[in-house]
Amino acid sequence: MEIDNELLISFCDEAMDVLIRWERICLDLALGFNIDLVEELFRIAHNIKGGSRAVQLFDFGNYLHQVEDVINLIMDGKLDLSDPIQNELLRSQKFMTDWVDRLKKGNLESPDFMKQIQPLALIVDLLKPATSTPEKNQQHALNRESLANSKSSGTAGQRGDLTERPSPLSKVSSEAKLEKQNSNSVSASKNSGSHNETIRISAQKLDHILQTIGELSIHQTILFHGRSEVSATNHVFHKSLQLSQKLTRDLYDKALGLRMQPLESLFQRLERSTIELSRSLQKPIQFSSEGSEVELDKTVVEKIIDPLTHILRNAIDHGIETPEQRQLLNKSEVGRIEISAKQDTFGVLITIQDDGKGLDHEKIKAKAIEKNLLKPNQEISTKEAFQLIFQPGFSTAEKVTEVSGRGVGMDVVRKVLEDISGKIEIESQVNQGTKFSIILPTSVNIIEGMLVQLHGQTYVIPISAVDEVINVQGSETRRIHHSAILPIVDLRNLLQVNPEFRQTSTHDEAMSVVICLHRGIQIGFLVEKILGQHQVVIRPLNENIESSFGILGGTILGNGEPGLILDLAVLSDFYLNRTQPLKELA
Amino acid sequence: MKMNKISLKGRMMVLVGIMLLAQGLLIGVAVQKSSSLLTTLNNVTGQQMPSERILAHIDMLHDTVRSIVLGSYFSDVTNDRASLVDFQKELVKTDALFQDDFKKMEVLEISAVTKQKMKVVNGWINDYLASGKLIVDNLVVGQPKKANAEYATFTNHFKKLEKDLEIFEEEVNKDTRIVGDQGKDIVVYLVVTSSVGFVFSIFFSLFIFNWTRKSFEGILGKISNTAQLISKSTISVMRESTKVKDSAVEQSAAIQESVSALSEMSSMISQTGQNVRISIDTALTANEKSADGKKIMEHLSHAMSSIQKANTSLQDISKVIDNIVNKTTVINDIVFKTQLLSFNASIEAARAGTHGRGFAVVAEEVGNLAELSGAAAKEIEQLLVESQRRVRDTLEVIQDRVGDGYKVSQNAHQVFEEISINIEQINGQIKSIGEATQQQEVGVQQANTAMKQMDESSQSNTEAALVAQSTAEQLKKDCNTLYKVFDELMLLVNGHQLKKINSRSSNATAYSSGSLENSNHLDSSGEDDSELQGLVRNIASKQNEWGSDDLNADLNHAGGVDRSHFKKVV
Amino acid sequence: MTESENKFLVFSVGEDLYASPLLSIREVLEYQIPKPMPNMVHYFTGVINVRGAIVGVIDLRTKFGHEAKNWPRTPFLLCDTARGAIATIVDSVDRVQTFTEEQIERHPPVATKIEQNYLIGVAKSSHELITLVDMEKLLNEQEYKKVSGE
Repeated sequence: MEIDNELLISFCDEAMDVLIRWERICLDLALGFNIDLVEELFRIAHNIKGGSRAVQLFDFGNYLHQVEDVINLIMDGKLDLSDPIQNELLRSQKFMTDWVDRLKKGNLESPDFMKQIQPLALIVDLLKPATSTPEKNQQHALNRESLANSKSSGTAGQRGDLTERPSPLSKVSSEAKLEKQNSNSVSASKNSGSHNETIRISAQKLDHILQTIGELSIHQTILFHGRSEVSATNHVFHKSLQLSQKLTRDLYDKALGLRMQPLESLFQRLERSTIELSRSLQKPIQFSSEGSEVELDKTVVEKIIDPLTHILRNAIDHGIETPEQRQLLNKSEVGRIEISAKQDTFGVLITIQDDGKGLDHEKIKAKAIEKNLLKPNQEISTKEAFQLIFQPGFSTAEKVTEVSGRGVGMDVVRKVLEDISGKIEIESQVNQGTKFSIILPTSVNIIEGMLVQLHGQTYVIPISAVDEVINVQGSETRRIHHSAILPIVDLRNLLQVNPEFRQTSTHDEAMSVVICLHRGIQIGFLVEKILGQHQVVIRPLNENIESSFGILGGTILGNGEPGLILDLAVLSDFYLNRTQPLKELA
Repeated sequence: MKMNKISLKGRMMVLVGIMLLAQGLLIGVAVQKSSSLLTTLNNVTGQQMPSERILAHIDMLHDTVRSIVLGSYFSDVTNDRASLVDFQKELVKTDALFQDDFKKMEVLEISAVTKQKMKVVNGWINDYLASGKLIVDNLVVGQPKKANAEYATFTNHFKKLEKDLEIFEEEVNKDTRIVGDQGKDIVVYLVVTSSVGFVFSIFFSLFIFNWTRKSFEGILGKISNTAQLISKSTISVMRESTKVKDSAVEQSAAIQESVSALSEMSSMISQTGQNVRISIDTALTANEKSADGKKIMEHLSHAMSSIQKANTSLQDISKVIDNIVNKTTVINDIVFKTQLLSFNASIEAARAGTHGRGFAVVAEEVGNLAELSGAAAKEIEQLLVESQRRVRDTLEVIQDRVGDGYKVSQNAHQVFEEISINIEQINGQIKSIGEATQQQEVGVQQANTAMKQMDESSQSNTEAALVAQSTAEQLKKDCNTLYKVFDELMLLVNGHQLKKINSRSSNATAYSSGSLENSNHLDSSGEDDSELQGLVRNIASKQNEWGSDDLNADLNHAGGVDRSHFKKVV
Repeated sequence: MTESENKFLVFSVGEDLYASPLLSIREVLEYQIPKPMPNMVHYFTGVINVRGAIVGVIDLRTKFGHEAKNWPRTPFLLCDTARGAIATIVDSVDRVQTFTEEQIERHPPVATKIEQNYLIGVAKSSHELITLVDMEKLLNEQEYKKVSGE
């Protein structure tokens, strides 16, 4: 089957988009029946079906046809949007998403969709009256058509009627303090509204652009640094270069900004997980989220999906008690999961809070001792105790469930977070609940780094720490600078390395001094050479090496070498205090 | 000598003027003096006469008075009253006469002293008269006693008066005498002054004359000097022109010789030219031969380089082997990596637990394969190393051999090159010789032409010399004439010693002729100065002969001055 | 004792043969020149780039008191510890070997240079004596920061 690749790709992209919407609709429908949403769902299915047929994905189309039938039944009122049905709809969304994923990856083989269809088909057959008149069928068809053709821009319809059955789920949107219906429709309209303002761009293309911009930025930096080679009287050149530098920086920042994604989709995923879990574990849970408009870098978002999901699962699985347990504890039957995201100057704070049974630090300690992670009489604080759960193999769960309990989750969570320079903290009170706080730097993991040479090796100094750079002779130990004494500290002495790497320079070599303003005092750090400037992604160092004095992180340099990023603040403190001789380091 | 600048005429004028003035003065003075003397004489004379007269008169008078008085006594005695009265009247009259005379005397030009004396005398006279009168009066009156008393006084007076009169007379006479002396003085004075004036005039005019003469002689001297110089120059010219003439003659002879020499050279040059052409031919032949030799060498060289090329192919083989060796290194790397891979695979397989079992087997196999590859690669490497070594050895040998052969051919080539170069050089030299010869010929031609020109010019030189000579002779003659004139002038100046001058002039003639002779003599000697000096000395000595009076001495002196002047010039 | 647990990676440090359970080792890496890191213990050679992550490098040879020679094919053993990944330099990686229980002597009377903590035992295999160590344990305890006295 010859399928035009480009068409296919664009079909897949479109399909993914609408499938997200599908998910949203399903989640909203879980809070309460809304005929508009159902109709929208129908429209989506119809569209995808049409689209799939256009690219000759007939199987896909057939599948969707079945789904359409189901939705139709719901629209006609013949089918109640019960939990199973909702689940089914969600599941079909997942199925379709996977299918589209495969298609995108080039696997054109249709999955075993018959299996998927079966339950749907069953439902349809069961419910479709055999005596349905042709007119009715036609009516149905007409309805479908009209529905398919009408384009609703998501006005606040008042036609929604609620189902009799109280939905175990409720969603509270803190953005609108309206009644449930209104809030539903408002959120629905809000969501659909936000979709219209977007343009779909293939992520790959964007990545390419970003990569190119990244390279441009690097070369711009090189160019900028080479400007000293050009005669200073060439004003046109220097001005242009200055401007160019500024523009490139802007471009880079904006490009990075392009990668920013609102956490909305993440939250949606979590919400879905919550619903699914709550259903499967039979624990009614109220999901609330706040701050879904907060944006994070795309890669960060992608990375934290799994850890957050894991935490969520833990919270639901181990944290939230069964309704019975909760009743015993005089808690509301419905457990609560609150997810919030907040933008701070430092970064983004995401919290997952449950009102479950909380963490028992004694238990944790006991387990730790059992696992030899802790010595029997060792005293640790509650906070430290909580941190123990991030140890690999640690789990206080009595039994391993399918969902969690293996103990391989939390350490991965922490690792992942560390990889993106994030931190996780736990607050918990027994029987009150647990709050996981995840602090993610927005894009702190990318900094402008100044490459310097020490001992013939390349090191990185964050530009933000550098006040100024001057040239000196190798033998100077101090100098008057800006009418104050500038002590010149040889970084090579502060950073002692094994003798085989050590290099000495002749004393009268021209060297550079990086001036850092620390606590109001200017200190000059002597380096062998300034090699250039680079945007650098900070990769955290693992514990084994993170305690190295004066190193705040690492990065991979352009040539593949690891580059160590110097912490001038620590080094400055050390110099200023000099409470300890060089050999002893705190 | 400013004075010399004043013209002769002027001097004369001055002289005359001064003389006139002097004389005038003298005359004037003399005249004045004589006139004053005359006046004085007149005065004196005029005086003397009257004064004598008067004195005589007075004398007489006083005698009269005496007589009157005496008479009056007589009369008294006789009582001749009438005579007394007459005597009185006479007395009065005499008194009046005295008075007149004195008055007359007063009028006379007599000296003041004399006048004084006269007054005194007058006084005495008056006293005398008075007393006389008194007596008379008394007698008249008849008082003879008083008269007698008076008579003593009278007699005193009379004596005194007589004395005084005598003195006075002497005084007057003295005056006269003085005047007379004065007259004599004047005469003497006149005579003296005239003489003096005369002498002075003579001296002055002589002085002026000498002075003039000196200047004149000075000028003459200069003229003489100039004439000398001209003479000398003339002599020189004559000499030189003779020289020129002689040398011109010589030159001419020399030119002739040169011309003949040049013609000889010309023939030799053409001979050389021929020889050059022969040499060129020889050189060309030699060059050809050397070129042939070179070609042969080049062939040899090519042969060598083709061997070298073969060598290069061997080297290429060596390189290929090297490449293969490098590739085996790559293979070894791959082997190593594969080993690592197999280890990692094993690790992963172990991690995968049961699921990884199949994979573990695979990993092992991979590992084994890696080892086998590794071993094989090592063997290959060794073989290659061996081959490499062999190739290298061969290469070395070839290198050496070829190197040697190459060196030899290079050397030979070098030698031929050098020969060729030498021949080229020779060729070049020959060519330049040829060119030089040509130029020589041209030169000779030019020289010939030049010779002709020179000959012509030397001839004209000779003619010119002759002309010069004759001119010089003429000049000499003129010079002699000049000398003669000079002598005449000298004669004129020195004037009155005719004889001497004549001899002098004859000397001068001798001198001038001698000078001519001398000049001829000088042609060969060139010592005219000393001759001249000798002649001068001659003249000087002659001069010395002329006289010894002051004037001559003066002249000598002047002549001496002249001589020195001469000497100076000489 | 599962199968995997009997599989060991045999490597040599100096003249001696060692082996570590495969599970303790994440990966075997090719040699990179470690980037020196200041103020670390003397057997901490530096850091390397392992697929974008920065990993510290311990030279086992230095640690065990042997001479440390670097030739192009010196391999790294990448191990995971509780505190992150660490790479160790050994002289060579020889093979993967399965030891049977019989071959393993858990508590050898021999005193070796290595502490008993991470010593699993000693294995005999065809005339060779292989010291069995648990890399993870070996590396787990270490503080690589330079402290006084080191």
